[in-house]
Amino acid sequence: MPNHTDDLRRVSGETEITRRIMASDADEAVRRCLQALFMHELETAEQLNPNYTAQYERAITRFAPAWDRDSSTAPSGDAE
Amino acid sequence: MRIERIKIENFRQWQTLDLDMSDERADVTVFVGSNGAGKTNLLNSIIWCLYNHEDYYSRDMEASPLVNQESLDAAEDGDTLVCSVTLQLALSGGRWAEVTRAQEFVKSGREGTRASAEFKVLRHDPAKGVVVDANPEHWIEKNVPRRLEPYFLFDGERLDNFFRHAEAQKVSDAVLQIAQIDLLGRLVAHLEKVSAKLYSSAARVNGGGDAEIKGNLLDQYRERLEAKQKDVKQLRVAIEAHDSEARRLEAKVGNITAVAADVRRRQELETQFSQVEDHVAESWDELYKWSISAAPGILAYPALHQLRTTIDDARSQRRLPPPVAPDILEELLSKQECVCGESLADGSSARSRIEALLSEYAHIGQLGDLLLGLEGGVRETLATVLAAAPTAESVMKRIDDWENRATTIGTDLELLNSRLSGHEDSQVQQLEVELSRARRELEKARMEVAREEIRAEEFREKIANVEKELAELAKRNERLAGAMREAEFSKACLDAARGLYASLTTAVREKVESTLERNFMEMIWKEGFIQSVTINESYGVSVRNTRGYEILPDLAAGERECLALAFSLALSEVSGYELPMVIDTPMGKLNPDVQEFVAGVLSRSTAARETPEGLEPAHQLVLLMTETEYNPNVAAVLAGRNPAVYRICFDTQRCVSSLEEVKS
Repeated sequence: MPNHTDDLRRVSGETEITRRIMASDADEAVRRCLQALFMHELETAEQLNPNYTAQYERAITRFAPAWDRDSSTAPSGDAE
Repeated sequence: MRIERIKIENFRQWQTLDLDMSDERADVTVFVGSNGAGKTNLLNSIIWCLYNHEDYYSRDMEASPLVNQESLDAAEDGDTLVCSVTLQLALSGGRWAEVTRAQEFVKSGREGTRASAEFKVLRHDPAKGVVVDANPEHWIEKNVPRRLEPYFLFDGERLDNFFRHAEAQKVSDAVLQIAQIDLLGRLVAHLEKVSAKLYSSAARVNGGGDAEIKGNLLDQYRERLEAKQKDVKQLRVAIEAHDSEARRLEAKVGNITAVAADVRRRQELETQFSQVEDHVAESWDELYKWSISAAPGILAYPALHQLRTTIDDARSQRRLPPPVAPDILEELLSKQECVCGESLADGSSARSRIEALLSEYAHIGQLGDLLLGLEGGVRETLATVLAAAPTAESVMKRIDDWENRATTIGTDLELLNSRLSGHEDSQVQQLEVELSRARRELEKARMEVAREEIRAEEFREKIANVEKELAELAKRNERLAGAMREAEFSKACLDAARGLYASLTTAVREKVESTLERNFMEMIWKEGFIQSVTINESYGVSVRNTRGYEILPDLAAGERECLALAFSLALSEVSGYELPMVIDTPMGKLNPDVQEFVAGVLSRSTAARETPEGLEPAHQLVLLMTETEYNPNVAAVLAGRNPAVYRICFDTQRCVSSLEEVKS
């Protein structure tokens, strides 16, 4: 599982979105997957992420096995 | 993040500069210099170092070489000159980085031809020590994103352009970009497509059967949903256009409505003025008529009064008889009784007195009769004149009152006339018609969006139902179940991302709105004039005065600059980035008496503060100011942050700038 935490800490601006992702009440696999997808978007911000399909499919394939289907609920939206 | 050191070599008029900004005063640094001294090029050097472009330059500069002209002139043909800027940046956790951009020039004639260029980032890695970053552009993008540049490194004088036209798209882009919500939005859009693809692929994993039929249905529904979403997007653009037009017209109508009220008031006053003039004319007429009738008496009054006095004197000296009629006295004597009841019998004293009177009167005979007649006329005339005086006074007072009223109305009318100069009543009607039309169009577009969204929702429900049916099928088919797991996981991710996007969008917009309003209210010098500054759901910015009118289009250049500065500060506050804020001529278009308010907001909004998460360190603030801007009042406000102050000295002979520290 990729660990972007150090990268995220280094970039102060990323913390607000990633903090909210990680603080949401979604399943952990969902949160980690979203965090990874957000990192892809961030890294390709200027190029509009042209190869997103392959990246996204890879991330989904990687995190889906750890997904606890029953615990996964849509977050209330208010991560605070 | 802080800029701890700036090293410049041959960048325009900055031939050499090595400025250490690492001491405790690095929170606020002020560079003071006249126009053309080198302030903007100091800002440009930072922007060039980070992003390889210059934002702010004059037409002359565009044509002139980047490399310092004096160094170029001193070089021999074929010599190589290096133009370079190095920024040493302090990062969180005691880490640091050094960003260097260099461009070589080869002297050729009087020109310098660009040769090789270099861009590197040296960074301190706790694990590896100092390393050269393999991808410096990427490092910049992660740490000092280029798209945030306009909100941290900018020219204050150009800010007023931002709100010259209320462009919701610009505001939306800025708000969403600064908080990186646009990236989350892109993530949602990408995930929607990938999730759809995963469901579609899963449905076909068995190659035929019910699942494939449902997969086909899903594709159809998604296609139609996508079309509806495109329609909704277009309609939202139309809504924004109608909304913007309606707000523009509201602003105009707001003014025109005030004008219309003045026009109505003027009409009322003109009517009143005319009535008052009629009253004055009537009163003068009344006075004239009274004068005609009373004039002879008035003219004769002094002579008659004198005559009356003479008669009274003559009587008291018994040169004239008292005012009695002899025939009446003779009648009383014949009746032997006075009108008072006293007896006038023969030998009575009263009879003797009357007889003596008649005897005296007989002496003057005809003169007495004449006097008696004359005296009656005099008395009557004098009584008339005296009785008429209050009438004249009352008429005169009425005339005075009406004339005073006319003067008051006349003054009000003059004021209104000056205010209404150049306005036409027909403008109001025309604008109100246009506004009504724009509002109708807006309402129509909103209803259309609502209808399209209902249709889109129907497709979403259909898609959700088919997805559920597929999930049911998957329970009985292991192969399908494996493929569906990823599709469903992607759906769970998508739902989570959508929820976050919605909550973040609202939270950030509201935070920017409240910070913008607070900053602007603190900056604006018209105390009690602004009622609210709002950002609506379509990101339209609205500034309303205390009468409730939209005034954004009517703000003066200085006020717009304040609004844009307040907006930039609000964005930097919500961005989560602790980037240095470098502002060139932050108060260039502001009146001197407002500059200290703006300095106060700049100082407060970048100072260290307590937050629920702990102490948030101060943001570095670098101000490039003219002497007019850095006046004693502004200096006093900024003194609270203990700034380092440098004067930019420009050598006009050499066209070279240098710094000189100003000791406090």
